[in-house]
Formats: sequence, structure tokens, C-alpha cells
Amino acid sequence: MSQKRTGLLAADLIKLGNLQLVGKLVSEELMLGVHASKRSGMGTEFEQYRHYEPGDDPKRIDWKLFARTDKHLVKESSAESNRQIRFLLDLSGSMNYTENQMSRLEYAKLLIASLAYLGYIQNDQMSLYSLQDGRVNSLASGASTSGKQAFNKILFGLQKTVASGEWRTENAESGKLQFPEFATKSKEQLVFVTDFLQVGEEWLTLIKSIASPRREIVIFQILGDNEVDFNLTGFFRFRDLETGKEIELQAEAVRDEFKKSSKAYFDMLEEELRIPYVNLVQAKLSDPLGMVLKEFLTRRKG
Amino acid sequence: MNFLQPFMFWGALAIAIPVFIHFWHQKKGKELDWAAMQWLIDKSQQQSRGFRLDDLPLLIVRCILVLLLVFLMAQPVLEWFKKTDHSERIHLVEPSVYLADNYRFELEKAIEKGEKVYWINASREEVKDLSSVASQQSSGIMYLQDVVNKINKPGAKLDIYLLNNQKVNNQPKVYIPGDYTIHTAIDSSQNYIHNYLDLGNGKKLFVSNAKLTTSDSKAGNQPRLASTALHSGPLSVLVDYKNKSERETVKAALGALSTVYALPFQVDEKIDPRKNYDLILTDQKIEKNSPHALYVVSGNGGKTLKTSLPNVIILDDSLRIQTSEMVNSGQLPEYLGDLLIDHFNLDELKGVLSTQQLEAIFVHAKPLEGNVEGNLRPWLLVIFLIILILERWLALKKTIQKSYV
Repeated sequence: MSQKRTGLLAADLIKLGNLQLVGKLVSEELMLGVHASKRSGMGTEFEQYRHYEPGDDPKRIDWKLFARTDKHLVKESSAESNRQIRFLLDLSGSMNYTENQMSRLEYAKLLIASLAYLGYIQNDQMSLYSLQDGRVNSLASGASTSGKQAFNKILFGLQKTVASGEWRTENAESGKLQFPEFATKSKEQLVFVTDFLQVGEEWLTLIKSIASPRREIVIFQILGDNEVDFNLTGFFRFRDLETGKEIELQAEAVRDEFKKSSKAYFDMLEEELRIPYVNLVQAKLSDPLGMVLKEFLTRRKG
Repeated sequence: MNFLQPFMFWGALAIAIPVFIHFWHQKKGKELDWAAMQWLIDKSQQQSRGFRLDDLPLLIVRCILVLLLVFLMAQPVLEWFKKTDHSERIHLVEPSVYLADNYRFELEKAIEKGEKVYWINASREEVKDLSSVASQQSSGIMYLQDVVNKINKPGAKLDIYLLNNQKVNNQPKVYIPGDYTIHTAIDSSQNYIHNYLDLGNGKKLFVSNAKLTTSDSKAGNQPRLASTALHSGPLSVLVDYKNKSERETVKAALGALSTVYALPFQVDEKIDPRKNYDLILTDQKIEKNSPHALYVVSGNGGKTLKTSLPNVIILDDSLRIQTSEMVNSGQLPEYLGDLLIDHFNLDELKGVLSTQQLEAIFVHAKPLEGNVEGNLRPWLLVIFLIILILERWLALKKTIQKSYV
């Protein structure tokens, strides 16, 4: 990102302790100057009445109300979007990685909350899933999955998540991943928030197979600064967040090798996922949330 | 190599200190929860080993430092064994028929090869033929040191052939410069020939089963006796004391001996120059030493004697009840009897010496090449200082690297 890094830092936002507010703040920062008006139209969810204006379909006049009030009033509901957004949050142990008091999981929660707020404004249908121990669990989904209700459900679902366990999949050996949750044929957008540090061939195959014109996939890869640049100095005892395994190393001694192999991995990932309908967005824990989202949105538009 | 302070080697336990420091440093990693493990693990095998190798020289240097310090404090005394090729072998053989028979093969071979073979005796005769052993005087062992001193050459290896019996043990230590090997033969008691004294009238005096025995020729069950007696006839004794009570005491002791063992003593109180005395008891200065006689010199007479001769026994006290503990407790006859047995070599083979006992008698004399310890210490100190500097350098380099990287 060559843009000037301004805006709210995730580290500051987390102090608010209010995902709803955070989502609002980030989105408003994102849509600076855009008037926040709601689109109203036809839908199942009643919102308001308004006076009939020439041009409105006479069918929409609520005649029962006319009988009572002698006024031509039109029933309005919030315009429903047919866009389905599924958030998939990685809950493996490595999400607990913390840098400068900012854990990857918190960052991911803020990111999802902000995106969910955007979706709420647009009245998109939203649901939240978690990926833990190789299984996909539904955290927020149901009959009414659009608008404010969906937003609130997602926030509630996010608040109670705890990351633990290993990144592994039961079907990893067979080289084929199956998630029936993603087998729907409806038009949807899949937002996958993860660290994506140990992706095997099976994940790439899965992503390639489910990406289609109807299903757009966005992968937010959240990384710590040290995971990319490895700016550690001194003698460390590295403890694996997923397995608990420990290694003692002199950071300087492994830095070059680490940077080399991590760069090779990220390059490989980028190369593999440079396919239609798949977006890989790398975000660092030190990046302001608004910037990450803006980059993603502008890239998508372009 | 010997150490003057071998207990200092307990200090070697201090080697635990650098090892402990080593592992302590290894332990001290800052803990860090980490997710991107795979890129560390890929390299960890190599890198981890690499790190240990970084630290290992320091550990080794410190261990050497501790050991060297301990070594220094133990004060080593080096003997530089000059393992030169022995240009020459010298065989020293105690003149004994049994021994010569026992080592006949080795000795004849040595003579054949032109190696020097000597009898251990006063004349230090070179042996050309083993059969000459019969004509040799026994009791060679007491000349061993003398023979070694005269005959040994630098670079030569000594082969010493000895009869293994208690006589060897009665010797003072023998100092041998250079290399040597001791060969012993155990003269088994069956073949042991008892020396005896012919006391006249067919009576023979010998030691059997550690007892002084007098036997008649008619009595059977006699041990094997030597072909000729060491002495025949009565024993002539000179008792020459100025002090009357001393003279009486000694005469009484002789009388007791004579009664118990039926020893025929001919006691003179005035010296008779024509007589060859076997036993001379005196407090006078010895004018003329007769090698066959046994002298017991007591009191002032002994103090005038400078050199010690094997046949002269010196007693510090004069032999009176008032002055001599031995006389007071009535041990004088027994003591005189023992002296006689020793003098005439009547003693039986008392026992076989163990290898350790034998080795204890022979001492490897140190070559006279100055104080080796004095040469060694400065060098050790210099090495110690060099390693100390090396250790400091390694340790400081590591700290600097840690703090500035």
C-alpha cells in the first residue's frame, strides 16, 4: 500500500470494546463524504409509510389504511439486496498471535464487524461461520439474515469466539476438502478472514473449485509485522500456538532464512490465487482497518 | 608423571561450573508465542546446531581452563622417559644353581648373542659358561647395588635374575637408573638345602621348621642338608669387655644358649692372636676386621666405628642390666642366637615375595637432568594465560554481538 497511512488504528479501536461502534466508525471513515441514506423499496420487512406521489404504482397504496385515514399512503420496506455475504472466520490457535497487544483474532473481529456494517447499510444478507479443527460451524445464520438483525447476530457471534486448536482438516490426507455449507448455488460473496500460514494444496484446490461468477471469494490474510519482516533480535524461545512445541533460536541467525522462505510462500500463495473471482488481501496488524478495506474495495471496483 | 598434590584433582569437579553456565545460557530464551512456525522449523535443525556450535568452543575452552588450573595446582613432576632403543642388554644373575637351571635357556641364548652376563657378587665376574655357577660364592644379592652401579651403562637395559626369597627383602632399596626387568625364580622348599654347622661328635645344628635344631647323625627324618658344613668344630668366642658386670652378663647369655641348644662354645676372655674367632663380643674398638667373624660391639666401641660392615653388629648400650633393656628383660641369649643364625645363613627360606614387594625394593632412579618440575611450570602458566585470554575474547565477542545486533 503506497497510500498515506491515516485513519483509525485497530489498536485504538479495540479499546472501544464495542464492535458495533467500531464497524460504524470504520465504515464512515471509509465513506467519507458519502451521504448515508438508506435505500427504501419493496421488501418483506415493513419500515415506514409515506404519502403517495404521482408515479408510484397505485397497487402499492395501502387501501385498508385509506379506509381508516382517508389518506393515500404507500407502504415502504427497506430495499432488500439479493447479495448474500458469508463471513468465514479462522479460529485455529495461530489466530491468537499477538503483536503490540493486538491479537490477530481481535483484528479479524474488527474487520468482520466493519464489513458487516457496510453490508447492513446495503441491506445485504449476512451470515457468519467459523473454521475450527477442520470443521465449519455456523455462528450467525438463520431465517432473517439481512439488515440490522443480521448485523447484530454477527456481532454477537463474534464476541463469543475463542481461537484454539490446530489448523488441520480431516480430509487433508485425501487431498479433497468438502464443506457442504458452501455448496449452495445462490449468488454470494465469501469473506474468509484468516492468517493463511499453513495452506496446503487441498485448500488451494477447494478455493479454485468453489470460485465462480456466482461466488466471489475474498481472503483477508492478516499477518503480524514480524511474520513478514522478522524484525526480532535476541535469543527467543518460540512456542507454537497450535501445538505448543518449543524451539529456541537466535533470531538473527534465522532471519534471512525465515524471510526467504516466508517470501517464497507468500509469493506462491499470491501466484496460485491470482485467478478470477478470488481476491487475496494481505493486511498487517499495524495497518489501519479503513485502509485495508479501502484497498480491497477499490481493487474490487477496478 | 607424578603429582605432588594429587588431592587437588578434586578440583576437577569444578568443570561443572562452565558446563552449568553453558546450559544456563541456552535456557535463557525470551518466550514468544509464535504462529509462523513452519519457516522456523524448516531451518531449526541446521540453525539450532549452528547456534550450539557457536557456543561450544567457549564451553570447551572453559573446561580446558579449569582442568589446566587443577593440573597446575596438582604440581606435576614429569619424568621424561627416554624410550630410546636399548642398544645393549645386560644380564645380572645371582649365582645360584637353581636360578641358573631355571633360566638356562634365556641365559645361554644371551651368551650366544654376545650379550653381557654377570654374576652378582663381589668380583662382578662376566659369565662365559653357566657351569661356572658351582664355583661361585652365593649371597650375591647384597652386591646387587654395587654391581648395578659399576656395570650399568646409559641406554642399556638390565635383566636381573634373582632367587625369590626373604633375603631380597632384607636388602636396602636398590636404585637402578634406566630400564630394568626383574626375573625371579622361586626355589621351592623341597629343594632347599639346609645349611648346617657341624658341632663335632656327629651333632649338626640347623634350622628346621623355623626352629634351631641340634640333631645326632643317627636320628632319622632329617631335612636335606648341604654337602659340607659351613663350620665344623666348636664355636670359638671372644668375650672382651672392660666392664666386669657386662662381661658376666654376656657370659651368662652364652651359657644359656649353650645349655639349651647344646652349643659347644669355647669362650676366651683375652684375645688370642692365633685363633680364628667365630663370634667376638666386645666393647673395644675393632683393630683388625676378620671377615668370617661376627662382631657384636656395644657401648663406646661401636661409636668409634664409622663404616657399617655386614658382619659387625653395633649396639648403642653397654650390655648391663642397668643400661640395656634387652638384658633387663632377658632377651640377650635369644638375640645372640638370632645373630648367629643370620651370620651362618642357617635360616630357612621364609617365604616368597609378591611382585609388589619385589617392585618396592627396586627404585627407578631419577635421571640427573635438573629440576623437571621447574621447567614444566612456566610453560603451563603460559598456556593457562593464553587460554584465559582466549576465553575472555570469545565471551566478550559473544556479548558484544548480542547487545549490538
